[in-house]
Amino acid sequence: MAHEARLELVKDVPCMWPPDLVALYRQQYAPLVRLAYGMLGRRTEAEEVVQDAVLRLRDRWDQLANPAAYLHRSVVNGCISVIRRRGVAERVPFDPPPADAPDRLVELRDVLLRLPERQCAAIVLRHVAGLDDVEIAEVLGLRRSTVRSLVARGLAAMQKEILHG
Amino acid sequence: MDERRLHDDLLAISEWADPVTVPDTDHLDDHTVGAQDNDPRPGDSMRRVLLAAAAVLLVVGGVWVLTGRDDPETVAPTPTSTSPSTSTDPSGAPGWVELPAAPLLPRADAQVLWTGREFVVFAGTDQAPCPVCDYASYGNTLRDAAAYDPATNTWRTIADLPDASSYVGASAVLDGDVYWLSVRNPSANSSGIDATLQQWSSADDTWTEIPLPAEVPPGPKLTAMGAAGLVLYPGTDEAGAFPDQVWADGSWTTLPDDPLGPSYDRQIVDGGDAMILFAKRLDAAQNTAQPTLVEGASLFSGTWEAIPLSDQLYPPMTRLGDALYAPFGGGADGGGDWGRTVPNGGSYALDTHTWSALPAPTPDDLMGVVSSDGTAVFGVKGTILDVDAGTYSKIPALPDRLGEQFGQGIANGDGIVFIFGGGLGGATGGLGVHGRGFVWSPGTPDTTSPPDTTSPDTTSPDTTSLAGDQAALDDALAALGIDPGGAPDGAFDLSRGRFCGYEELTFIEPDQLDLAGRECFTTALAADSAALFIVQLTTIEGDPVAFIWRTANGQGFEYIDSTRDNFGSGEWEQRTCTLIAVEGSQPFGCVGEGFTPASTTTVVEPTAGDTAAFCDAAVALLDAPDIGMAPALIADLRAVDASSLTGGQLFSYLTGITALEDRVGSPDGYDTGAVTDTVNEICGTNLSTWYVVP
Repeated sequence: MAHEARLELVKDVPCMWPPDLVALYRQQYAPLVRLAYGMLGRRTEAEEVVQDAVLRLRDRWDQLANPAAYLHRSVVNGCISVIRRRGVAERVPFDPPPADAPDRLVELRDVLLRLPERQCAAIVLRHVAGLDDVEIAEVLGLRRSTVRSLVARGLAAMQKEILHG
Repeated sequence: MDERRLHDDLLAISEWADPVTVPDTDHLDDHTVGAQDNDPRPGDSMRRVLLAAAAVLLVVGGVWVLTGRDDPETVAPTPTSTSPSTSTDPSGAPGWVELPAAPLLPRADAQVLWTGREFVVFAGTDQAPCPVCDYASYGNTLRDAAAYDPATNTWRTIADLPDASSYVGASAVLDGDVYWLSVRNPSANSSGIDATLQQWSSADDTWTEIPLPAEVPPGPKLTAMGAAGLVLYPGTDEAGAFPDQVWADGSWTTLPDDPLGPSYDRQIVDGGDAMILFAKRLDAAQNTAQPTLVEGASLFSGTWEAIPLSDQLYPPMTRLGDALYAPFGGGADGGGDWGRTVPNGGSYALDTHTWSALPAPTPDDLMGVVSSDGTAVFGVKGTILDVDAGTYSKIPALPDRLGEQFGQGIANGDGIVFIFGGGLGGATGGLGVHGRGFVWSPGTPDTTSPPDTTSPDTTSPDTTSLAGDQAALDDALAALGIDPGGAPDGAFDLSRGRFCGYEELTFIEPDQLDLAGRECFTTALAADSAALFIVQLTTIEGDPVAFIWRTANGQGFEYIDSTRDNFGSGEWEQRTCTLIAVEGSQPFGCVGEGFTPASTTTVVEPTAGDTAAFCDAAVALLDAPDIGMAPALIADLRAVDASSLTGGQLFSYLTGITALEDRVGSPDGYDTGAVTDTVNEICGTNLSTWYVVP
C-alpha cells in the first residue's frame, strides 16, 4: 500500500536530532502530554501520541516555518485519530484519577471525554493549552467562528450533563 | 460553572498526567510511529473533479441545498407554511389543507382522536419513525396536548398528559371524553401488562386516572360502545387468555367468553345495538394449507351469536352507515398453497349479516372508505373507495414528501380526515419529526365542508402584512439587545421577506425553541423565498451572541453579532452559505462558501445509485495517503442513491457531505473525518481519516 511505502521511506532517513528540536521537545513534551491526556484520559496513549508527533516533526524539521504549531496540530490530530479508532467494543476505562481527586473533577473529566472529539479538542486547547480562538482555529483547521461554536456547544453540553446527569 | 473555575478544574485534571518524564531522544528513536498518519501537512495532491453541482434546489431531509444565484433580491415573497396551502389530486377534489401552526411540539405516532367537536392531539414521541432501522430506539414521550376545532379553524392548548404516560398504547372516545391506555411495559406476566388508563374530560380539560382491572391484557385495545361503555380487550390471545372487560358506571365488568376460542387479530367494533367481535382462530392458523379467515360473533343482551365465516384476511375495523369495513387492498395466496388469492379487505353488512367483497379490481394500496355517512381513511397515501359510487380515487399527496414517511397521527371526523405530525426525510426518513397538521375532505356529496380557512386565525402569524414583519423584527432586536447599526449591509434586510421570529437560548432545550419560527424559515428556504430568523445564544461566560439567518432567492446568509461577546472577536461576521443545515434542535448551520472543482482534475463517476460501486470508489480514494482526493468523495457521496440507505446511514451520509464541504470550503484546511466515518458506516469498512493543511 502506498501509505506503508511512504513510512518505509521515512524510516530510511538518517535519524537526526537538531539542537533546536531537542530544546523544543524538552520544553513542549510535558505540556503536550497533559494536553493529550486531557483529550484521551489515558496517559500511555497520550505519551504515544506526543512521541509520534515529535518523530514526525523531526522528519519535517527543515521544511517547517512554525514547528511548535505543527507539533500542536499533530498532537491534536493524533488524539482525534485515537478517539476515532476506539471502537465501542474495545472501549476501556480511562486512567483512574488520583486517590485524592475530588468527585467533582472526576465527573468533569468523564463528561469532557464523552464530548465529540472536536468539541473536546477545542475546550482542552483553550483551557489546558491556553490557546486563544485564533490559535485553536489554526490548530484544528477551522474558522474562528467554528471554534467558538464548538467551545460553546461543548461547554453547554458539559454543563447540561453535569446538572442533569 | 464559571469560566475561571472551569479553567482551573481542567488544568488540574490535565495535571493528573504528572509527573511527566521527558524521554531521551534515543528512546524516541526506538518508538514506532503509529499506523495512523497524523501528519497535518498535505501529501501530493491527486485532484479529482467533482460531479457538476446540481443547479436545482434539493430538499434532502433536513438539509437544503441552495443554488448559487447571482441576484439574491429578485424574488417575490411566498406564503409560509403557516398559511393554508392545498394540493390537488387528479380528479380535481380538494387536497390537504394545512392547518394554522399548532401549539404542539413536533412529533410522530401521536394519538389523534375526534371527540365529536374537536380533533385532540396528544402523546407521541420526538423520535423519528424508522421502520428500516437496524435497531429499535424509543424517543421521549411528549406530554403537551392540543385540540383543533375545524369549525373555527383554531387550535387550543389542553392540559398536559400526566407524568405516568408513555406514548405507546390505545385510545378511544366515549361521550366526548378521551380515554388513553398508556402502556409503560408491554411485556405481560400472569396479571397482564403495566399500564395506566387516563380519562381526559372535554368539559373541564382535566386528565383523571381510571383504575384498571386486575388483569390488563397484552396488546390491549379500546373500543367505545356508546351507552354500553368502554371495552378493554386483548388484540391477541397468543400470550394467554385474558378476558374482555367493560368500563361502565365506574366499574369493570367481564364479558362472557366469546365463542371463537383462542384467536388473534381480534377487533371489536360498535355494531349499533350489538357489539361485534372479529378475529381469526389460532388453531385454524396451524393449517397453513388453508387461509385463516376472519370469523365473528355478535354480543347482544349478554349472549354471543356467531356470524357467518368471511372470505377475507383482515377484520373489519370501522363502521360507515350499516356496514363494517376492512378497507384494505391486496391479498395473499399462501405461497401458492391456497390455490387462489384471498383478499385482505371486505365488508360486513349489519342489517343482512352478510359479507361482501370490495368492488373489483381492488387496488393494492387501498387505505380507506368514504360515503355519505362519513370517512374512514387510515393512511396518507394510497387509494380510497367511495362506497356510494363504487369508485376508487387517489388520496392527494401531502406537500414536501411528508406522505412518504410514517408516524402520522390520523383521525376521521365530521366528514374530514385529520393528520398531525410524522417523520421527515422522504421515503428514507430518519431525519426527525414535524409538527404540521392537515385536513382533507374527500369531497363526497353530503359529507361536510372543508374547514373555513377564511375565519379568524388566532394562532398563525399574519402572512400578508410585511409591515407587521418589520415591526416584529424591530421588537425582536430590542428584546435581544441587538444594535443593528453596526451590522453588515443586508443583515436585517426584510424588504422582500418574512421575519420568522427569534429564539433566545441558554441551553438548547425544546421549550426554548421557536418551532413555528424554524418551520417558517425552513419552508422559506425550500421555497426559495426570503425570510429572516434569529437565534441568540448565551455563551458560557454569559455573553449574548446572535446568529441572524437570512435567505433570499436560493442563497443563505449568516450574520454573527459578536459585539457583546467579551471572549470572542467583538465584531460582526458575515458568511454566505451554500448549504443551510437544519440540525434538529440545534441552531442552523451555514456550510462554507462552496468550492469549485479544478479543471485539471480526474473524473470519478461511480454509478449513480449503486452503493457497491460507490464503496469501491470510496475505498480506492480513501485507502491512500493522499488527501487531495477528498473533494471527489463529496461527488461520490452525491452519486449514492440515498433511498437505498437506512435512516442512520442517511444521517451519516448527509453529515458527511455537509461536514466535508465545510472543510473543503475553508481556506484553513480540512480532513476526511466526516466522510471517512460515513464511508465506514455505509460500506462496513475501517478506513482512517486523513488531514490536510493549506
